[in-house]
Amino acid sequence: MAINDLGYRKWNLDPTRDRQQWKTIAGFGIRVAWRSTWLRRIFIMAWIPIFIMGAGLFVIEQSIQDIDSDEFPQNVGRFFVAALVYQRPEISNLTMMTQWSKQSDALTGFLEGLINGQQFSDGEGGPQKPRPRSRRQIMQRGLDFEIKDLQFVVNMSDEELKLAYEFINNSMIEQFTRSIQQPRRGPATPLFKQSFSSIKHAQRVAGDLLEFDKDGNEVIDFRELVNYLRPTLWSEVLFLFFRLPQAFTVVIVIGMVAPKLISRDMKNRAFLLYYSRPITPWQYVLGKCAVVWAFLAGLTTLPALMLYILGLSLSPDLSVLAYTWHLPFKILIASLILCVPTTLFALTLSSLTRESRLASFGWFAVWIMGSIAYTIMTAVEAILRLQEQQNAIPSEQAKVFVEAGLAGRWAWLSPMQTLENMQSWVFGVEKEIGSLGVSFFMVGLICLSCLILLRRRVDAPIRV
Amino acid sequence: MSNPAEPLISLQNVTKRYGSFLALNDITAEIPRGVIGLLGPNGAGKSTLIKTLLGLATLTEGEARILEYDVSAENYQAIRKAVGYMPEDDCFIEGIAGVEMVQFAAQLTGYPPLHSLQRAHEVLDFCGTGQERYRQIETYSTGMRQKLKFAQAIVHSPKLLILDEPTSGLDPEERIAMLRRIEMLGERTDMAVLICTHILKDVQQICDYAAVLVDGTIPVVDTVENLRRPPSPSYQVRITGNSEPFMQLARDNNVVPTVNPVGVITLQAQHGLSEADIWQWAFDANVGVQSIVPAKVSMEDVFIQVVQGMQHGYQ
Repeated sequence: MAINDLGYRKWNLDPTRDRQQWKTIAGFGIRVAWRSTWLRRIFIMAWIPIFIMGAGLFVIEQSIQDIDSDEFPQNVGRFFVAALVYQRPEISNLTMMTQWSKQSDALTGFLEGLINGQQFSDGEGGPQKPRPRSRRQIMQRGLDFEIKDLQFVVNMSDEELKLAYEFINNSMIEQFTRSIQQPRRGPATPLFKQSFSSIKHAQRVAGDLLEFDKDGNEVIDFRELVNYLRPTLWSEVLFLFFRLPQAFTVVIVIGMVAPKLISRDMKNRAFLLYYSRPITPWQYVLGKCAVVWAFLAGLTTLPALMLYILGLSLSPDLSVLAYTWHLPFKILIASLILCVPTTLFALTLSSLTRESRLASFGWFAVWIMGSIAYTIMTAVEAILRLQEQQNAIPSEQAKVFVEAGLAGRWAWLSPMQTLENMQSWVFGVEKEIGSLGVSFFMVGLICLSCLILLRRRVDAPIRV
Repeated sequence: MSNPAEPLISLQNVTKRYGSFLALNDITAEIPRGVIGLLGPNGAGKSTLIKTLLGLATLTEGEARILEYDVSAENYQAIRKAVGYMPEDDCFIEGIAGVEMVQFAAQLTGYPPLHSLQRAHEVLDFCGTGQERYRQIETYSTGMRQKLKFAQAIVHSPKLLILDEPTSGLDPEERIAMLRRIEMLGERTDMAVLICTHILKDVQQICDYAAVLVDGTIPVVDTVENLRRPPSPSYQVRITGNSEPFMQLARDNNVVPTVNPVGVITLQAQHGLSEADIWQWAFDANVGVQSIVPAKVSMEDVFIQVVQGMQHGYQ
């Protein structure tokens, strides 16, 4: 008998932490994972971007404190504001927006001219006459113009399309031509589309930001403009944070932590130790998920919230809160979008094998192969479009590659792209995400499948 | 509080099938409280019975009751709180130290972290684990892992301790120490102990009761004392001097004497035999008597008899 054998003492303490066993599983899982030196290093590295972005936010906020000043560094702020304004058509085209109805009438007249073969204005006062061939073809195919949605739908030849495009350019409404698409065989495609609600929104913004100077000219109130742009700026920064450094770090960290969590328990038959205690399979799953979530929260949610708080503290006054109150919720939702599907998928892989190395391999293979497949399919689609659009407007050709990606037809192939699409929707930084519905469907399907499979796998030892 | 008179485990027509394989075959038995040895050949259904009682496997038919709980899904959590289980399999949680695993087991039962850590050290002291408790479990020897599994099973002071092959993989010294610990738990606490083992000598040494599980049924549940009692009166005698006249006197009285290599004479009578008769024969043969103890059947013999009896329709 050992010298330190003190005998057995009955323990009369009653268990007080019923239904909290998942926390115990999570706590021990975190403790074990954190012992990895490489994980700690990666974790520290993952926080570096937030300091860089925090510093950037500091510079921007300081530079836009006095936007009207010509002195450095205040004039740096104009650059950032200009960059953001460029991305927001409702601001960059404020003046034009106020004259929207006039432009709309002009375009309507142009298209009616095309149909009727009458003379029309080219926007510069000079009359032009449409070619009879164009007229006939358009008449045959028909022109649909819905004033409610301000949508023109027409099938045009390349020549006709160029004619319309030139007119629109001349009419200073080229910003509305982003959805001009190469007419294809089949159903009519939108020539020009600007949703009614976004026009209304732009008009509202115009009402807020525009004021009249002493000469009665419309000028933009820069202070109001900065307040209006701040959520956009912060959303851009936060999305950039989620998109670039953290998405990759998350993949690496999950690949280091999650594959071991269940496969090692299976390999070492630890299920017997777990399930001879008062825990349920759901508590086990929740505990294991919480291990991964804790690390992901430390990589994404926590630093992003810190960035937001940093932004608040650097802002001129607390009125900023009124413009940005929704950002913490967006951060939480973006974190959930990133964490839940990835965690469930990684843990499911872990539950499918006793060898954690195989689960890790599967995890990284899915991400790498998905990204490769997405890139290849998008490039192929872009090349095909280019071949179809050889006669298109050059600037449109240049957009083809971008649009092929933005359309997101193949985004579902890449987990990275799919999650990015969803997060960009959350932060509202990109409007043209064609595959958002597909992304949500895919992620939902994967989550549900993984949850069912995971539950069955961890349940298996006691489901006999 | 549980009723001490209530059986520890009560089985009513318990049947468990794995597909077409019948693991437990309509068992009806009552296992009393105390230190119980559950014996049985490989594949007899011992582990299945334990897993069924813990809710790690579901009953196909029948009803079972353990402690004061019916074995059903709604009582699994209560049963697992009240029961400590030491699995036979080499199972552990990778990446943590021994003391952490015991603490982890206590926390999983619902105890707070600090109390659990304190308790973990207590039971590891009881199990004779020294500084090696701070080492990673992966580096433990088989014997160390056995002790660790034992420690995690008793960390929450269970009402019933189920030990599946507790002494396998232990060296002789550790085996004795382990048996002493189990014996002590049975004697000095109100903890009931159910031991599944192939080592019949362990059962013989520390168990109050033994249940024999053969081919999915439990034909025998009794005290070890009763099971080891020979069918006819027998004694083991050590004498000094020439043993031949003494043995001849025994034969003359229809008693069969057998001598083992160390000189112990076993006297087995067909009918009545008392200590007074032995003293008389020793006096008549002019030999000295060193000891007279009632002879007992070994658990190996009991086990073989039961198994062979089952094979030949023993009831």
